[in-house]
Order: sequence, then C-alpha cells, then structure tokens
Amino acid sequence: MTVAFVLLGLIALVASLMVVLTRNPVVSALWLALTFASVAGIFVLLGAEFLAAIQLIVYAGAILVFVLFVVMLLNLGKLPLAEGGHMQAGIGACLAASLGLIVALAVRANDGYGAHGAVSAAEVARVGNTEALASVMFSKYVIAFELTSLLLTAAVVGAMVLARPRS
Amino acid sequence: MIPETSWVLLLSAAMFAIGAAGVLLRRNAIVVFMSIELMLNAGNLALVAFSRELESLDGQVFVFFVLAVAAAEAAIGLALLIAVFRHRASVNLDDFNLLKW
Repeated sequence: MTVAFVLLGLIALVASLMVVLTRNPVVSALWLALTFASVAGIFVLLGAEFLAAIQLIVYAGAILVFVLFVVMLLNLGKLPLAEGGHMQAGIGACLAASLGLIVALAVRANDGYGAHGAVSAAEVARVGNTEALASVMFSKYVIAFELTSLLLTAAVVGAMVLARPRS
Repeated sequence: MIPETSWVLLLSAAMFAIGAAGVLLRRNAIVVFMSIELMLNAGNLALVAFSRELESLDGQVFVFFVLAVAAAEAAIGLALLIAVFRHRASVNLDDFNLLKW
C-alpha cells in the first residue's frame, strides 16, 4: 500500500460521504467532482491512465456540469437529509452499512482472483496503456463499441424530446 | 509502487455502500442520481483493480462502456427530471406516485 493510495482513498471516502450528507445539491455536486478526481488518481496508480483521463473528461467534465445545470435550472434550495422519517433513515443506513460489510468480508475471505488474462503488465508498459486498450477495444469489442455510438445517439435524441417544452 | 488489490476492493465496497445509503436516505431525485453515479464509480474502481490483478484489459474496456452508458443515463435521467418538474413542480421522489398501486 502506498501513501498516495491511502491519501486518495481517504479523500474519495470523505468526499463521497459529503455527497450524501450535504444539504445543498450544488455543494453535493462539487464534492462529487472531488470524488471523481481522486478516483481518477487511483486509476493512474493502478496503471489505467487512459481511463483516468476519460474519467476526468466525461464524469468531472461533462456529466457533472450537466448535473449542475439541472440543479440551477430547477432552483433547489437547501434540502432535508432524510425526509421519510427517522425510522426509514435508520433502516436505510443499516441496509447500506450491512451491504458494505458483507462485500468487505467477501473481499477479506477470498483466496485468489482466478485465471490470469492474456495481456501481461510488461506488455502494456511496452506499448502504453492507451494503445493496448485500443487494440482490445477495436478487435474483440468492436461491435459493442459501435453499438455504444448508437446508444449515445439515441440518448441525445431522447433527451431532446423529453426536455423540450410542450407547445 | 502499486496498491494491493484487496485494499482497492475494500475502498470500492465502501464507496458503493455510501452510494447505496444515499439512494436509500435521500429523497431528492438529483441527489439520488449523484449517488447512483457514486455507485457506478465504485464498480469502475473494482473493475480496474481486477483488470490490474488479472493482467487482462477486458476490465478496462468494460469501464469504458460503463462510462459511455453513464453519460447516456445522465442525459436521459436529467431530461426526465426536467420533464417531471414541469408537471409536478417538484423533484421529490415521494411525490412521484402516479404509477403506484
């Protein structure tokens, strides 16, 4: 475990907690930006530089700006933290905590992660992360990649139809 | 120096639990949406960790697709929110009960 990972992980944890616990949605969105940035940093530590860049561009850049636009469009003020009452809040918190605990126990209890894949770390280091990723994406997953563009087109058209004012 | 896979998975589990707590506790649709993004990000983190551990790039390709789907989901979800806000003047999830049995 490196110092950088501990730091980035702590920032990510605190920032994601603040996303949930902040009453002002604009502040929530800004904490979410910090979470995305620190997760991008962890991506770099894990050797996924291309995904770190994409994470910053798509998540912190595009999606978050979009969320902020909508928050300001809807003109939300300060929000209550748990509107369903203390009972519902307690049950929800217990469920989420037990979910995290179960996954953590499963991670702790496991022995080995299964068979290794075809692309060794040395090979990735030789050609570079982006190039190695591209060669997989445009050979094995090329159909899924093309379908993604279809999905995005459909999403853009759908969003325009949905958000258009009724005349 | 590379962090251990199990620690990255623990961080991912914690982030996913925080996101799930946000979905369960908060009633504002935009905050719920942000919590869903948090959970997607936790899943991405686990996928990248596995990709590094197993020396396979398939996990990273999956993260790329998750990002693309998250972008589409953001566009559609927020457009839906705007459309619902026009009708109900609210983004409180408890107000959206027209389809409730």
